Amino acid sequence: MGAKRVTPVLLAFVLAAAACGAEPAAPDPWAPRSLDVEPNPFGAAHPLWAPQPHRDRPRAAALSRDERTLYVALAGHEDQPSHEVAVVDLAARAVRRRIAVGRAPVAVALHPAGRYLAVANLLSNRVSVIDTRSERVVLEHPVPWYTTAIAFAPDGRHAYLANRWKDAVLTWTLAVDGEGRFTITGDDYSTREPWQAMGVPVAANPDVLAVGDDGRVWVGAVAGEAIDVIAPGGGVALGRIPVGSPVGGLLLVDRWLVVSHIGRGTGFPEHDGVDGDDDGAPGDGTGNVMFQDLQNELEVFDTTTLAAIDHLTSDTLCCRDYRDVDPDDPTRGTRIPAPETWAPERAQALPPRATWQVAGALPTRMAAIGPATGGRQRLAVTMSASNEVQRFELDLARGRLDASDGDRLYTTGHAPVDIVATRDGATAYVVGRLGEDVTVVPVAAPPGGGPPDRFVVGDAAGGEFPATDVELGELFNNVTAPLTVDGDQACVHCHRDGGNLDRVVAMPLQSDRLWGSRQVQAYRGAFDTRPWFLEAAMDETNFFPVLNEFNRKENFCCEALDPLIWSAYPSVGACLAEPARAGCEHVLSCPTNPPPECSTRRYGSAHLTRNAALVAGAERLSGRRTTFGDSLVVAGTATPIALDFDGVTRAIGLFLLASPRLPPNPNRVLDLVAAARGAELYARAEVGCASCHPLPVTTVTIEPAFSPAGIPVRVPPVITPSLAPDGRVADTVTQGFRDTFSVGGLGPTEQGPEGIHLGIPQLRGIWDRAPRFFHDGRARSLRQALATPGHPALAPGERGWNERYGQPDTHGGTSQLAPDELDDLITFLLTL
Amino acid sequence: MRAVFVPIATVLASGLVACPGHEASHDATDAEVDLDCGDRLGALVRVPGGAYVPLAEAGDGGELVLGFQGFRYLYVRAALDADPGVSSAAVVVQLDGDAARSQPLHLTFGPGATGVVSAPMQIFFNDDPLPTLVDRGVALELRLGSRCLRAGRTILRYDPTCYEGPDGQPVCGEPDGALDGGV
Repeated sequence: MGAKRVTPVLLAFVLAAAACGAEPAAPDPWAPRSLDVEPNPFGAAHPLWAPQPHRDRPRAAALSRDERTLYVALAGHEDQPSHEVAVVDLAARAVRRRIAVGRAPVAVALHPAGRYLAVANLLSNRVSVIDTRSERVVLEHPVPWYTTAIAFAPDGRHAYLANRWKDAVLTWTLAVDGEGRFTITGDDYSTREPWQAMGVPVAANPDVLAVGDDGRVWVGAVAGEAIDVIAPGGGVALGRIPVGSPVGGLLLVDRWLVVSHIGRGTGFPEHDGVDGDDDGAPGDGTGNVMFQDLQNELEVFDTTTLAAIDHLTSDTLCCRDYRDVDPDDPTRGTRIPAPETWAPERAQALPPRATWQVAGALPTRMAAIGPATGGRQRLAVTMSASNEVQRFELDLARGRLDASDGDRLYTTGHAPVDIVATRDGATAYVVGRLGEDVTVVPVAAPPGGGPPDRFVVGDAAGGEFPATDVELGELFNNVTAPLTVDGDQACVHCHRDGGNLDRVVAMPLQSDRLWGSRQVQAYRGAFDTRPWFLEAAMDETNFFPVLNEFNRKENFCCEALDPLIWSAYPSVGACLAEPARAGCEHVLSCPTNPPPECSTRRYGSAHLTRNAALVAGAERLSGRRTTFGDSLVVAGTATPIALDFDGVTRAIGLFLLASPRLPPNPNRVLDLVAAARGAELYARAEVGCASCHPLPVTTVTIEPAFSPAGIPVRVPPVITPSLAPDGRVADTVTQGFRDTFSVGGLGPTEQGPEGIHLGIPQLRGIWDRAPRFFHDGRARSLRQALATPGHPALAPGERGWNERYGQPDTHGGTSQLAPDELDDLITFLLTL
Repeated sequence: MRAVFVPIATVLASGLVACPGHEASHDATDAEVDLDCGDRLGALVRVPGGAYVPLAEAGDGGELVLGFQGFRYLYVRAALDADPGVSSAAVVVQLDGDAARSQPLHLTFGPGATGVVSAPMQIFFNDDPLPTLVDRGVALELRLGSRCLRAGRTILRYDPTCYEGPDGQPVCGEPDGALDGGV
């Protein structure tokens, strides 16, 4: 990706040469080096801080050829990366030993010869190769930092490495001896310098690889929401499938490619609004409303034509939520209060009912289960946000996919992240990232509904996960689905790995939902950059609108919000005064004796209040009805708080304060002269970057401790407003939102003809984001975000967005900068 | 054409607001401060009509406000002789018959009629069905630091004919326009 290219001048090397006074030895730009984690300012001084147990966070697994051993990459917590691969004796269901590798191992791949295991270490510029006979690291080969996935060609002659820093796929050429050992005889990058572009460029943040029998390489990207196809042997891009949704997993079966993702919308409306789905037509293509368009989908592509052949979506597309588009009652949407109202014709945009088959939440990695039989291949799909595995069957002749067991699924440990299966299809091993475990799933038999058969491979010495209030919040953030009325959505559907997506969405708070779309925001580095949300209207004390969207009270009959039911009953006050009055038995005891009409509603719960539903969901998920009390207590007491709406929300807010770090920045460690020049430009008054994005946090905050000005601030009007076709500023939010949300006692979010006053987005971590910039994602590169219209730095076809109503330089004074200077400024931004 | 540069510093500066008496003493630990306010801390609650009155004098009860997506809350302000030098606070809420819960708050003080008064703070009642809130008593304890407390009690007053209108603003007095559950 061009946005991450860094100009090749190394300040450190120049300084080192000058210091020595003699001709320096050429420094090795590929010398082994691991990235250090970013500092975490949330520390013991904060009243919510509590010590956290060490965790190993297993991330990926590979089976030995004899299927007796499982190798599990232990990536570690992002505050404390691990550096080991666990060697698991599957007969004993125990870790036999651990092998030290690089920092934060996140992917493993067994060479087809069965002897060497390659381990991708996210934060080390080395891939570790383990000889599985000696169980020792026998080779460490240089790679750029942020290798996320590795896969071998079926003939074992090539290896492919996906890289999130370079947004590229790199290739090794291998020679294999008769003992199953390989040597790397060449690669397509190590003659270049680490800061240079290399490999085959792919969509942003590639995360998963698959290599077909024909040698073609398939690369799935999370933030970039696409699949790239690369020629056998690497080096040549063959094509791209614009999935339009973050790719969770890839599975090649025969001529078919099965892809898991979260949906791209269903094609309505097609005639108005921001082209949020990049289909070239106006409108964001969403058949449902608000977050209801987040689904769980499996799609089958023909690897010959790249055409989409089949597509399954959530089995809960209708009608657990009162806002779901209902094909059996198309006019229902007209009776729902604005802004959730939907037109009857929306029902026509829903996918066919026969495709509503995906029962779990957030499908990610997949595995083929045993050999194909009768022209059908069974496969198992991990559901990361609901702790489940679901079976499907693929018709190999037609490429059609169907769920094998209806809505029955296997249960796993927390946050399943990878799956491998035995060749006979009897057993699948599922890695639980948060559960620190492996679940043994008997995939040959239908799901039986029993508890998961699991064993620990990570670190549970500090207690089974979750063991603290921060971990409760992390669990709810990642495995949100059991806490939702649909059972099919999660925070990480969009905020994958704390980052953002190449996607714009309409948010519930917007008053112009057609033209005021927002891009998904990354939430890393949240502690020292409060207030949150573009509107700068939230922090951990009032962070509840999103969970509210997943659990609107209207879905719970006993919340008594449905006038079609409750207007026929006396009020609570009247019933307290006269309990024997007709109907009061339902008014006063709804959860145990709801009005009969409640059971006629096709959605939500007939007898639970929202609180009761959430406490029950939290207990099913975590085994707890209250917090642990190490951080979240009733003020002035040591009493834990209930895991109801408030408690779950506060736990998620606590997690956001405590945990998601900015990813260590590989550009910064290069210490580039161009970045130093860019830093000078950034600080220059006439360029003006530092005025709104002051270093070091590059925003202004409500915490004086982090605010360079030392005082709480109010935020300015949106600098780069989105405009409706009639010229109106579309960046407006509802009055109710403004009145309800306020941070630091600063009062309601301000809004006028100039639009909403937005918080200033931080620029830290910008190197790792999807290629969308500005609040509405209109700028598709940093160059387009910074350049004024017609700036000479722009490439043909690029548009400079640094203007407001045609007046340039309103987003910093860049028109005066030469193209090289703009490059320097971008180089600096990529080091933040 | 020569580019015209609008200094962003000016844009930002226009958005910066200093809060009097607020510059020096905020840090992440201030919830732990052993602050004793004696009798100085007052808690004011907003009553129907928009006025703020001392909690003890809100005989007709505090106004339960309808907000975004059905969130309901009371407005409360803290009053003191002088800025206490802490920003983190909490309110302990106990609806009659329920267990106590608490909500963290951020405080920002400005000049009041006498001493300083905080900007309005919202105390949310997100977790209870509306019919169970209306006209119900609630005990509130406002806490700054570990020893600076003010307790009081009010009744939740609410106009049940209010609902959230299409633009997100509360609309009141139209009994037929209430929320539709979607049936």
